[in-house]
Amino acid sequence: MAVCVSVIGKENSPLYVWVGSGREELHLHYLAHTGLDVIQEKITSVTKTPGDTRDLYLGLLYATEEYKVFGYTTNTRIKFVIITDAANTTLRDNEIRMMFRRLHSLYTNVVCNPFYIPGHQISSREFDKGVAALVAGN
Amino acid sequence: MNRRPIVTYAGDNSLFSGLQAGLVTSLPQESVEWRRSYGRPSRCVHVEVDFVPFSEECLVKDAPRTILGQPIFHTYWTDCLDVEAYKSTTRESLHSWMMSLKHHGVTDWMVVLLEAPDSRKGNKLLPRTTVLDKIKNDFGGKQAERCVSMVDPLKSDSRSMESWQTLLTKMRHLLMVAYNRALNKFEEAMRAERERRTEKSWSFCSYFLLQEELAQVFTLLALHDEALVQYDELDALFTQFVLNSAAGDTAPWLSMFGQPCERWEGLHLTPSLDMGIQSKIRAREVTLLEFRNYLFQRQCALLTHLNKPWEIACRALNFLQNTVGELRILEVGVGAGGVACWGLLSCLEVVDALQDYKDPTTTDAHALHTAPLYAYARDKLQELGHLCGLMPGEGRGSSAQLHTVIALVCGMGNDPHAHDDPHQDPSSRDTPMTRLKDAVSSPQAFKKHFLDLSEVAISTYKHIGRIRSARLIGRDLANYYMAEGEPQKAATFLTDQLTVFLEEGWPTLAARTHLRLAQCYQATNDTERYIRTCAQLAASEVLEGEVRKEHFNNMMKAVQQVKPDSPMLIPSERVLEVGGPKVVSTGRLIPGTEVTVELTITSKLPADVRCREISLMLQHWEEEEEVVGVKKASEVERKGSSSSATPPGGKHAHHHHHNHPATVHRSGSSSESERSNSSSSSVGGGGGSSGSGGGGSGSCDGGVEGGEGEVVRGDTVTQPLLMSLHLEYKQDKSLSSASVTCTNAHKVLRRRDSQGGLYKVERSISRQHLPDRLTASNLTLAPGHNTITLTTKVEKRGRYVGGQVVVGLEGAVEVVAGRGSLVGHPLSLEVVSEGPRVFLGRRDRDLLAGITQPMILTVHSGSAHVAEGTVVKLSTSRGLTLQCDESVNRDLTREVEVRLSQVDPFSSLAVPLTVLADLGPQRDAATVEHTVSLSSSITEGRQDIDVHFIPPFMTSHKLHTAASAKFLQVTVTGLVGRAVELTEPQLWAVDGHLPLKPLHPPSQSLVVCSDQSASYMWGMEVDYQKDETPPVKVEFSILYRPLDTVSHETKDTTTKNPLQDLDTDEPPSDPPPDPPRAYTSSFEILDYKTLYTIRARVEPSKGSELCRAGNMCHLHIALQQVWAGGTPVLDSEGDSGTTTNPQHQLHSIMYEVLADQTMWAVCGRTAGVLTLEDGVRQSVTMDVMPLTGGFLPLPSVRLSKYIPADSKQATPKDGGKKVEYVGSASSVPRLQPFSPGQVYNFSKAQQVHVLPASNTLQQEISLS
Repeated sequence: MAVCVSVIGKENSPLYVWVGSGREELHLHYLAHTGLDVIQEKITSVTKTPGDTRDLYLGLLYATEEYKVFGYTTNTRIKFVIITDAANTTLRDNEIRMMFRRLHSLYTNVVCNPFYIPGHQISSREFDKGVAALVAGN
Repeated sequence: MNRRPIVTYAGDNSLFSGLQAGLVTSLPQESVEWRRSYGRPSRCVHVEVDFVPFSEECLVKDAPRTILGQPIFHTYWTDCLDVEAYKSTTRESLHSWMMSLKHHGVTDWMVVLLEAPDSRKGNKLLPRTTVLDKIKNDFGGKQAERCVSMVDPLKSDSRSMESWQTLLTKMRHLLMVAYNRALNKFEEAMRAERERRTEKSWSFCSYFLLQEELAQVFTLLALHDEALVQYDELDALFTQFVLNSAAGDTAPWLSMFGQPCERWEGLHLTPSLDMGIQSKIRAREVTLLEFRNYLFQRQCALLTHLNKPWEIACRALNFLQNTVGELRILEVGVGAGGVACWGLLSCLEVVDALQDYKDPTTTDAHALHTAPLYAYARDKLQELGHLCGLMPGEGRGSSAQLHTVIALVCGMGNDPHAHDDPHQDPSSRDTPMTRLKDAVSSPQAFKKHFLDLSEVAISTYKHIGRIRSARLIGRDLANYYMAEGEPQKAATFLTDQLTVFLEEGWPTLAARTHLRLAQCYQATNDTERYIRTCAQLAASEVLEGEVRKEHFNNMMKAVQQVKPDSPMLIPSERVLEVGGPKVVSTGRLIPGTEVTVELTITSKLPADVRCREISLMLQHWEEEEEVVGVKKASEVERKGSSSSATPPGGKHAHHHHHNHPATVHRSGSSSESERSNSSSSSVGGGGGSSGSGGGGSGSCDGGVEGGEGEVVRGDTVTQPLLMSLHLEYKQDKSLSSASVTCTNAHKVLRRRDSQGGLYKVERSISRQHLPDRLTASNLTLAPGHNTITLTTKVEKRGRYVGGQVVVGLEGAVEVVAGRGSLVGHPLSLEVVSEGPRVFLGRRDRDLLAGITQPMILTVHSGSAHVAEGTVVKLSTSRGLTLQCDESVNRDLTREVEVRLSQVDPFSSLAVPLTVLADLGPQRDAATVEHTVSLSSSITEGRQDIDVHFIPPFMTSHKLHTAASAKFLQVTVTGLVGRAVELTEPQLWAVDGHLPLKPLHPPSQSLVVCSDQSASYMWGMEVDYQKDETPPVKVEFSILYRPLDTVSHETKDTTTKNPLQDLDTDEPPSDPPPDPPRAYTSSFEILDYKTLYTIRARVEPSKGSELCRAGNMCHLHIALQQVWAGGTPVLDSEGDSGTTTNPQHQLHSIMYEVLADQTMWAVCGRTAGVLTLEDGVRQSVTMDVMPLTGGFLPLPSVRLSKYIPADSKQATPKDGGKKVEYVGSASSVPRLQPFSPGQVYNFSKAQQVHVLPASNTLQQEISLS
């Protein structure tokens, strides 16, 4: 379903980037990185109204003719970016939202590992598996 | 837009035509509430209609495919006022009109009767039935309100105006009812049509026109939002069809949209309908691009009406991308570059259109949406550039490319803006198309447009804060410039982007950017940056080994070419990871020490690197002298013995001693100030300070934070925790609590902000040029972990803080690791320089005067070497002599020069000394104070040390009297715990007149110590023959010798050289036992002759045997002068055989009886004056009463010389004492006491037995 899944840390450094095989890895990295612009924009515009619990799902960040970039941010400012094919028209917004939820719980599991240092690159077989299942759509 | 709903008119056509113009203009002037069915909210709308004459044909019923141009409302106009005329003609006509309406099922009609204003007046008398009533009767039925009358509006009176307005309101209302009915019918039909959309015969185009009709109706009613909803529904419907088609469910009609597009006219935003396209849609030969253009243009027109231009911008990108996606899905064949052309033109059109709406308040809202549009346009232009060979570095001007250009320009069609402004020359107009045509015309023009567009896109992105997006465009531009052959410009963009990537830690992207940069720098021959970039690439972990290797080789090649006269610096970030330096060398650092530091360098380079030199810069901080100085001075106060007890390494640790009252003080030291209620001082890092150079030593507090304004962030890291002893005292100076505190905790343990970027990217590096550095030369850094040993010699005292690490490669290239990039704790070296100190201390015991005492001269070398043979000169104050135990010269002298042996830094030397303070006549326990001056070449100036000696004993004398015999007692009181043996006491009168006879055995030796004293007694032979008793000066002398203490006896007999055994616990041996020394003390004795004797006794009154308490007794006092003439008269009581001495006549003596008032009650006078003649015995008897029973001491009698008031004559010699009469005081009688030896009381300390007061009473009590 997705062509790229990335977990980006609090300071905007990538903690985990998965790119579908056969994709232009570099281009997707650029897209995910650029998506941070919109994420920041959305986060700052929302936090202006304090007190309300904002939706973690940020929706479509932007789209190019080939790809759509979706964003999600946790309360600790960990950002998730999922990129899908623009041509993939069967994917509904709700499914994207579910993917993010699952990714979030996967990430939570990683952080729960006492040997994981928050802010470091994620290298976990469990997480790899989880992401693989996530992007495969099951 | 001229299509309107139609209202028919019938009846009197000429009448209506007079009113038509007024109706057409007046109807839309006021809004009417439109109550809508299906619960939709009612809206206020304006109605506009066309009037046509009624005819049967226009009522032809067909499917309600349209609503505009259709009659929806029918009117009948008449001015027939006469009932008869109505009955005859009008009624017939009206009836047939009505019948034809009914036949067609039309219910929306209206009959208007025009009344002349005066006609009603005329009929005032006959108001039975009017024509209106008739009409209502005949046709109205239930809808009589549809028949209205009005006054001729051509008259301009108020009544006529009122009736005209009433008509209009009624007409609007009925019109809306009709409208609603028609629309409902239409919508029903439309919905039915939509339901059929799955049927094969269904066509989107016809449906589109149908719903667009509805949209137009709404537009007509000024309900733009409703109209927009219709178009949006159509948009969604179409999109869904296309998506379904992508999923394989292609509707038959969709194939029409799959026809190839040969034209790619851009979007043209205009408020009017494009009839051409509409007819194409009707004819079902529209292309997808045309259709999409048409639809979006309609949406934009409505959005413009709704005054939401930003929504246009917002939708535009989606429109463009979606359309491109649909082209792809439907596999529409578009000529090469056609889509890009269309996208670019459309994009520019939207952006241009938005320019018109630019309004200061909405600029930002625009920018948020226009930025991606600019970026999109830029992308498209780039695509065209590639296609047409306009991009630099691609083969230009091939005929195929020229053909492409021509084809593209053809496909663009006519400029829709060509006729916007007829006054302007079409060629100079700036429209999207002219720009595009210009851009593809030549590479130069293309470059201009491309760069312009890129610039706008970047700046707009930056304006809205999307830096990363802007940088991404920058990367594209960099590519362009690279191809253009302007690598400098490319490098600028790339560096900007690199900064973002490095700051946010995107290694893959950073590596790519580095690759590009390497090309740039290679092209620009920027060797320094090229080397830097190659280093980054070679060390990159995300690149393949081959690439890394290649760049490593490139780097090394470039390094070789660097000229030595222009050295180059490479930042070490991500290339070499320098780990925390560790001090290897042990021991305290003093100026001149060779320091060894271990450094770990992790090389990420793929191969070995030869290094010329690796150095760690050392920043030197001077310590603040005075703070430390005072502290040290106060801390060096120590007992001499402790120096030999501590190991040499720990000696310099700042042990703090609260000096108990020591006898040795360093003059000028501030030790007293230490005894404040709460005092603290530094403690060197526990016992461990003996080894670590960087660790312990708390002596640097305030060393850095003081005046140095340039204290940098890292310094807090290098500062050690200053642990110190903290003592709290109670009010009475007793210890309350002791604790260890950290005095600089607030500085060192400050919270550090974790906010801010993850990785700091330092753009510029500069190499520190510091005189101090740790270096190692000629090394090879292997990939991975390297441990390097650096050495240097520190020359200055103070603190050295590690700074940059500079790795000098071969050639003149240096890799610099800034302070911030060092991993772990920064290096901090404490170089201590303490001047040598010399002081004199006692050993564990108090110093005794008069006995040779050991003292220790301690020399602390501090941080210096003390050479062998250095001389310390000691000179003493008078009465104090000393000797150096080792020196050959064993004499005690007042000046001694001590030759020191060699002393290593931070160790000390103790030189045992023997001192002897003269013991003079000692009548009290006061200490003997002396001063020793120390001077030496290793210390500055002279140092005076006060030395206090405690006398071992003191002497006092006392004269004793037994009648006329005299005895002299000398008491030697021991003052110290150390026992002193006394021998050979001697006492003699200095002038030799007074024979003294010792009463103790001559060979006796006595021992004194504290609480143990010795007394010697001499009998004194007083020559009573002599008249005078001149003062006698007596001198006492005795030999004393200190006895060895217990510790002395158990002491190891092997004498060791204390110089060699400083670190043993063995105290230096005491000097050999002293020979006995002589002590002399002289004193004077006065008034040693007995002048008077007193005898007193108490006798019971007559008749009583014994004294009884409560009974009167007699006190007999007998006073007698001792005859001083020749024979003593002391032998017997009452014996008065004395010779007369004229000089001793007429002595007036006052006696006083002093009785304890609890024992004695004295009756009568207790005092009296007697005159004693020579040798005469005087008696006084007085009554006294004992108050209690028992052995009572006799009341004492005191004698005093009485000098009468009137006596002018002075007795120059009176008992050896001169009596002076002072001035006029002679008018008062005076008393002068006798010296103790002059009066002898025989009855002293006598007691008398007194029986209890009442014997009988006591018996009675006992009986009962």
